[in-house]
Amino acid sequence: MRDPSWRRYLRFWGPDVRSDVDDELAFHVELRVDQLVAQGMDPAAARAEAWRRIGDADVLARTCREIDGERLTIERRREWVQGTWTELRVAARQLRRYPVLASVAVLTLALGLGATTAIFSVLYAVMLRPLPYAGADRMVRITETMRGAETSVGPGQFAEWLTRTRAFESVGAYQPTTFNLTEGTPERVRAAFATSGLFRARYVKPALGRYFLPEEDQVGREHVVVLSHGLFEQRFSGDARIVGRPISMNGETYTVVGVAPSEFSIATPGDQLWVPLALTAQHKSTFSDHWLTVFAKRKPGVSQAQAQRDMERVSREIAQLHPDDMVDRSARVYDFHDDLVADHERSLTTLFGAVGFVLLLACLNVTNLLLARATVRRKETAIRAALGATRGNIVRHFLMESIVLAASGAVLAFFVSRLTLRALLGLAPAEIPGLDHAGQGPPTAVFLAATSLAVAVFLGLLPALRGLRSVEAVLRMGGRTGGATTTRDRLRNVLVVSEVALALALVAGAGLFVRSARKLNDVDVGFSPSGLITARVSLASARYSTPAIIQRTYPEIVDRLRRLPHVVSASANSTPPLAGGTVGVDVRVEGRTYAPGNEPDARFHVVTAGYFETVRARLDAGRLFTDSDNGHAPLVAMINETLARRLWPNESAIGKRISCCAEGPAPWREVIGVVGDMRQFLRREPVPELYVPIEQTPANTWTWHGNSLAFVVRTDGDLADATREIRAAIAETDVTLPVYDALTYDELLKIASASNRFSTVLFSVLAGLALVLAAVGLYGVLAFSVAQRSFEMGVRVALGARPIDVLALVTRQGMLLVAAGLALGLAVAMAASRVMSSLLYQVAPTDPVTYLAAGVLLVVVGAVACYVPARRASRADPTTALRA
Amino acid sequence: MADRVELPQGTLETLILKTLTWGTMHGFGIGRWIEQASGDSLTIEEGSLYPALHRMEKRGWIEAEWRQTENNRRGKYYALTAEGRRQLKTQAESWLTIVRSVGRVLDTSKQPS
Repeated sequence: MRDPSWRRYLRFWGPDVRSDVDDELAFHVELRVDQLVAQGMDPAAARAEAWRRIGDADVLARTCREIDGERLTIERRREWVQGTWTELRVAARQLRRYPVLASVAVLTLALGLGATTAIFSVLYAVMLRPLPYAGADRMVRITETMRGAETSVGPGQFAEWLTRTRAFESVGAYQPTTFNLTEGTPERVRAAFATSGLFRARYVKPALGRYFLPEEDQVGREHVVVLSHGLFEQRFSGDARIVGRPISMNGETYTVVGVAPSEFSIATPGDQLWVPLALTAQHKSTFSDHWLTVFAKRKPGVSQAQAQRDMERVSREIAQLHPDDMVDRSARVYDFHDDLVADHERSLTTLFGAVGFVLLLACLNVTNLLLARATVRRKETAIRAALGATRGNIVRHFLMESIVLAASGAVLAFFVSRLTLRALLGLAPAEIPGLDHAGQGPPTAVFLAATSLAVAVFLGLLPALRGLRSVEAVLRMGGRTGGATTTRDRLRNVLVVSEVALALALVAGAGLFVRSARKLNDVDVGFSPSGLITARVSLASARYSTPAIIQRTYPEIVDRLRRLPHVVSASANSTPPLAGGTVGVDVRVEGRTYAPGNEPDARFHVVTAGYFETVRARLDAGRLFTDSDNGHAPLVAMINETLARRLWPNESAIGKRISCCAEGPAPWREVIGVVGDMRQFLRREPVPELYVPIEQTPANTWTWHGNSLAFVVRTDGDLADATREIRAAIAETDVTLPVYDALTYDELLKIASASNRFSTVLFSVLAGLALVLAAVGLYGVLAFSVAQRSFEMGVRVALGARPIDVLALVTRQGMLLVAAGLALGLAVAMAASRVMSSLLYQVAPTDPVTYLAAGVLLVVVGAVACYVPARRASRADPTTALRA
Repeated sequence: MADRVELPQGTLETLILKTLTWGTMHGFGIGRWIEQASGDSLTIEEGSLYPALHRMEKRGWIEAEWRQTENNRRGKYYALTAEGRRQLKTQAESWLTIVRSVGRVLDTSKQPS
């Protein structure tokens, strides 16, 4: 019944519930026996009676043991909480005793955590934030494809899709445009034609009124408009009575039927109003013109792959009806959200990766500091262990310290991330969608908290393990600190090597962007941008109802601009270079036929005489347009060198006849000149371009540009003054004409390189941070090692080592670490930089020059970091060192 | 010995607390003291006494200590904690309130109107 008596000695290691309860009951029985014997009972009978009174002793003992077990659990938990709290206070107090170390560590972590959090909030806003309407994950964009390449959608195809598709609950078409809002002061607004289905697919309750009705998608009913919340506030001062009232746009009357809520957008943010897209019967039977953007919403339960198969089936059906228009054509379904952020995904994830490297570097650095301290405190740790601290206690002790550091770092990081975010938003290219939602929302806070916790564990783990190991070592050594213990330093060396490697990767990344930026800067755009200004005007109102009026009005304005002071020359182009936007046309060549799908195409420009002189393009052959290339003269065209090479690789283009873009039978026009290539987009290689003089352009081409043209003016005066005077001169012609997209070419170049500049600046800042951190880490390890080895250095000097020998010894130790770091970093950078290749411009991600430069930079920084501790070591005084 | 009385739920704990106000005591002594103080009208079963003691120890109302007795035996002795003292005060008060109220009702000779 009773346990062996040795069990009670288990209490030495803590309470023993089992024997406690048994002992207590046995004691009770003894006392009862005494009582009964005193009352005159026989001892044997008394014992039996005592046990009988207890009843089932096993059950009673078990009940008591269970209760005791619960009590012990509660006590242990309480003890742990109290112990942890004490440890936390001790850790904070100890860190206060080393203010320099603590502030360096906290600051390092704050920078790392803050930067990471800021980038995360941008990443979240752009890529992860759910769209604000139900079923957003089922939204898709559908394009036509031409031999696998994406093209816009023809109105005929779209009309067929509406009736033939089965995978979608709604399909809608979208076409960005602009309107002259002529209500009050004229203003050009960004707008879009949109079918009613688009509003049903992304339903968010309208702020006021309603969206379009299905019947408003037809000609005759389409003069209604939904205002964006922004335009409603700015332009109509948020007056709800605007709903139901008519407003004047492009000189015509539209009725306001609703106001969208503030976050509403269909494709990309920025549309200021929407008008129904009404397709005419003629549109619906046109399968050869492709200009629509189509969005749809998959039915619930229909996968992306099923939707894709559905579209392929529909395309085959249409091809049977219209074989000529569907050669090599099919359709493709893209996920809407992925598609929206695709352009920025790469650059943001790369950036996030880079900032993650910096955070890792910061952690390694702080770990290094803590390890150094753990080494110094080996004795203390050993004493704790000797006094009965468990391994858990010791690990907890070290973890508390890193938790205090990480928590302080996180608090500071909150402010760092706010500042960083503000700087980021100022620098970021404007076209990134959703960027305005980047901020300190709950997801960001959760991210910061989780990351800080992970950092705390990361920081505490190595010193804690080291602390555990040192317990045995110190006890064996008797607490004497001798020369360098190699195992001890090896871990810190590994950390420094990793730091150098990470720094090299970041510096190399920054280097690649810098090289990219220089390449972009050196791009020959094909014209002379300085002193050039562009400003766009659209002759959209009823006053300019015929092409003849339009073709007369633009040259008149150009003449007026020419007479302005400081204007060297003035001209106009429907789509000037670097200003965004192009129109593509098929080009036919007299006497030639091309295989279907192999027809040459070109980007189409309407220009005024004097355009090429104004931008200072290079004339390769033939002549430029003159004022006499007017409506009565023979039709002419100019082409760029790329188109000339495409059409006539081995002969002169001058005098050849081509045609383009007219509805119906096309009249031939003679090629009179070839100009050098000009970049329509800074980062894209030149493509074929075709120029037509304004008075000879086919009437239908005006609708392609919404009757608009951009003036291109060269000035030798102040650009801001000139822009103001251009606006004034245009207003003199017609006060209702809004002037928009007025920009200097310096600004356009800046916009074109904005995303590259964004990456370059950020990477450079991160690389700079990484360099400093790696240098501090290297310095820390060497300085500590020199301090630890002062005895050894003293012996060396006493034995005749010259200062230069000691200097060399320490420097060699440091530079070996740098060299190992460079080798590792090279491998890391080569592997990691591959993801950047699409972000770079004409620089290979393995560009040897960049890596060489980054390596040299790190060697120089490493040498500086080595020099200070090395010099200190070389000045070691043998007498002090040996006596210490 | 007088008639046996069943103790209402939780009353034993109040009595244990009261007993321990006289000083530290082992389980056997506590049981004996309550029986004697009740004029032997209460019988304290070991089967309820010891679980009650352990439960109260878990709640922190009493604390236990192993001591050597004069007969050189090892016994587990219980003592009141500050929390136990507070418990006794509230439990005694509510017990007395119940007793008084129930008694008043039972003693009433007035018919309900």
